[in-house]
Amino acid sequence: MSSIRFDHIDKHYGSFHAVKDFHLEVPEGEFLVLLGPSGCGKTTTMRMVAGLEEITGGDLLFDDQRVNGLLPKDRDIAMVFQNYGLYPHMTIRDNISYPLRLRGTPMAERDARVARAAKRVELTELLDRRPKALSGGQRQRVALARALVREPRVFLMDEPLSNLDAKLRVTMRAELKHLHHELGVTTIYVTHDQIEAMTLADRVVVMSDGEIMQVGAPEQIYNEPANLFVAGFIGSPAMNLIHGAITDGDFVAPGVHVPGIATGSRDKVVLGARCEDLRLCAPDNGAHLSGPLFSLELLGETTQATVRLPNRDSVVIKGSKDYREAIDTPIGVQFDVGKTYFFDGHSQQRISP
Amino acid sequence: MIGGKNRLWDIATTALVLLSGIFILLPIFWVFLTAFKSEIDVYELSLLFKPTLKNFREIFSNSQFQLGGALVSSLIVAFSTIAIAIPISTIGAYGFVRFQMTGGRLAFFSVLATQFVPAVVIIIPFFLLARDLGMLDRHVTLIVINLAIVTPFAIWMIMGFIEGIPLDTEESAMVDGAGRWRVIWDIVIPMAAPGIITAAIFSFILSWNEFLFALMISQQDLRTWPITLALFSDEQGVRWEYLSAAGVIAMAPMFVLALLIQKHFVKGMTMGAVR
Repeated sequence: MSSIRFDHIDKHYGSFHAVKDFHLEVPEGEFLVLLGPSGCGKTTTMRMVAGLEEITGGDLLFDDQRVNGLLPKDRDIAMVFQNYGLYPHMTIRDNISYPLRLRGTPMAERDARVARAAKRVELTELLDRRPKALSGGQRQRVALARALVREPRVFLMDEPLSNLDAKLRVTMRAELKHLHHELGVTTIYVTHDQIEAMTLADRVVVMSDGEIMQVGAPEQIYNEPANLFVAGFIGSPAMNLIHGAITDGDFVAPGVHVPGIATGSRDKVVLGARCEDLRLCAPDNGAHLSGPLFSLELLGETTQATVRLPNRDSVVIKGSKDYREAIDTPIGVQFDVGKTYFFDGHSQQRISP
Repeated sequence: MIGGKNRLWDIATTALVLLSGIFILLPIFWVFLTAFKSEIDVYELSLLFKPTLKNFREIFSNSQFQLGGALVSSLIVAFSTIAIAIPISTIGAYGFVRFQMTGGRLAFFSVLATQFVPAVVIIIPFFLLARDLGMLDRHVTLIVINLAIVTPFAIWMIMGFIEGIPLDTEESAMVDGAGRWRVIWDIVIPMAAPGIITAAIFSFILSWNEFLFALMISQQDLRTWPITLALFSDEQGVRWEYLSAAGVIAMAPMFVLALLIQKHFVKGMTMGAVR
């Protein structure tokens, strides 16, 4: 187990700046999730930790020891790849024991540890098969067992669940969480799936265009988004963002008027509100927002109503499961003023609360 | 109606395949028959004759032909060629596929371009070079020349297979604790084995059958099997029955090899073809 320190790390591919000034401390035993859309630099960052990608600038430290120049084999890490990276010409047993074989672990100990790792991920019966004969979920577990079979300083996981079907993904997610609880090894996990990030992480790093947008515990990322990017990326559906201005203390946008939420005036302000903090009402004087119903989606436990504003901003409201209204019916929406966020339209940063 | 059409098509293609098969195999079959014919039967078209092993005994016992030595020479040259060419080609192919280097593509095409030069064009320079270095009539000279012919082809063939190995698999081994050479040995070679074996067979066939260069540099000691075949004409004209017997022996290793590694060979041919 190790702590990891990213000391102003940069990665360039020619003139392309893939990772920009990545600076972060990961304490021993933490489960850190790198989250962001594809191309945001999260996988590149992880590959630099693995030693599979050269670091262009800055220092990477494991337990205060610089590892920039170390080959992957000398870093004592274990990694689970998106496509599992199994060895198709070896049996499952040989796949799992390969890291031990490379380290010259005695045969008897090797067998015992393989058996233990296989038992942990329920692969004992499949040890003599080859990867080809296994399902996606089983292959994923082999990759996991191969990572577990030795005690690495750091676990790296690159979208390990993305090739599994939805049901299996939920099961494996729980298993990963439990495994980390049991082993307590420092883990860096890359995903573009915010549910995985929210459920697994001790801390989430939200990335965009090679830059850290926000670092924090999942609830912090969700409840206190630092900027428009994080607000729009986290949550399903994403936070409603309405582009408008503050005039004499009131937020005003086409079709929207929220009185008395600030003092003074300010142009280019974005109001953010989560769909669960909005309430459907009649389109009369009490409504902060009114407009024709754009679509209505029944989700089972709730109904999701969408209103499209004249400026093309969409506002999604979570309603009761019995809510029914015809499309184009004028409806009203009330904001919970205590649960609205304001962002500066120029700098994209949150200004209140 | 469609069924009838399909049937007709099936019959036509089967006939065509049979015809090409006969076209290719008939001469080989005829050589095989002639090898067991006595001198009088050689020019008879009849399939009915009294088979004899006399030709085989004769070609090996007649010191004029020196067949034993020729067989040894051919084996030495062919096996040395693949023993050197295949490891070099495998490493070379890996380098071309996995490392981005300045001029890498140019280097690869230069290697491949050597294959477009007809052998007769370079035979004189090769001869002069061998003569001036005092290397005529030596096994090692023929091995070096064969390497020049075989290696580019083997590199190209093996590359197709290495490109098919997912990078994930190699990186996974590196993270597991393997260095570059270990990755090549444990992962790349086993996974590219069908290609490497196919390349080895082709290399063997090419050097086993090589005639032109062997003829050019051989004087006394270096006499490979194909050259010896050309010697089966004497004052009585071409001795077809001896030539056929020797031809059968020349073909034997090909048949044995083909049978042994048929499975890899087909896989190698078809996979290489797709790329």
